[in-house]
Amino acid sequence: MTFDWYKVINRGEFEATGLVSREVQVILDGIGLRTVLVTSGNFYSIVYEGVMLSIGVTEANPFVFEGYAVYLDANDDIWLGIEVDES
Amino acid sequence: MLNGIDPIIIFNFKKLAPGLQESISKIPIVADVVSVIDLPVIPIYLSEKLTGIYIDSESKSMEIDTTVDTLSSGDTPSTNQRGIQNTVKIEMVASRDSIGVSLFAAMADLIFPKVTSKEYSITYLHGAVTVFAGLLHSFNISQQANNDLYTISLELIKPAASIKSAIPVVGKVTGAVPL
Repeated sequence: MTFDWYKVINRGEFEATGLVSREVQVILDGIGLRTVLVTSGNFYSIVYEGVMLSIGVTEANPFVFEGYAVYLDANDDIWLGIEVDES
Repeated sequence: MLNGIDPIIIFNFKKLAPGLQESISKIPIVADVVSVIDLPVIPIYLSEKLTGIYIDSESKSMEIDTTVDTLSSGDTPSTNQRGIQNTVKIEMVASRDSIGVSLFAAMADLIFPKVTSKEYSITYLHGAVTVFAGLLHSFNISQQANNDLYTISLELIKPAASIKSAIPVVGKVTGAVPL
């Protein structure tokens, strides 16, 4: 599967705010202004368009669900992935 | 015109972006950052020829509450100050057929329901008298029986400076993983 990946936030920076959740407004290239909710609990998760994507729920990185994905890279950056139609 | 330069007043309306709580109501959200979306600005050029509004007077006032407490030790009294308000008042005169009066009345009616949510701001520029992203403190339009003029009184308050970070533009990386 191929995705368009957008870097949303750095996990360390979010952790430093001490917030349980935070709405991040970003202008996604080719899409426009969107709001992504970053939240932390047992796992770090992002919510995009009503879909919750959690890092660490399964062994998979990226975690894929309903055409979206979340990926945590080696720099602790959290990426939002939107599936690209390969046809 | 006052001092030979026409002033301009700019109304900026905003919309509070809806939170994501509606879509995930079962998940307890403790804190989130409210975000606003700016709508196109509405400038009104306060020229006698264009909008029929004549600036009669402008004034800027700052009110500070000062308390001086004398000490039982007889030392220098301590002085404490608290800011109350910092306002700019503009008195205008317009003829009955002035389009500017209609615009002002319409803008005031649009602003009134948004005063608590602060989904608006007003910028007034006229030489040394400037208010950037101010709030409406008072507004009044009155007409006298002995002439055909409207008297408009507008008072703007300068809010505390707030820094709003720019919305970042995020480029995309295509692939199975973002490498």
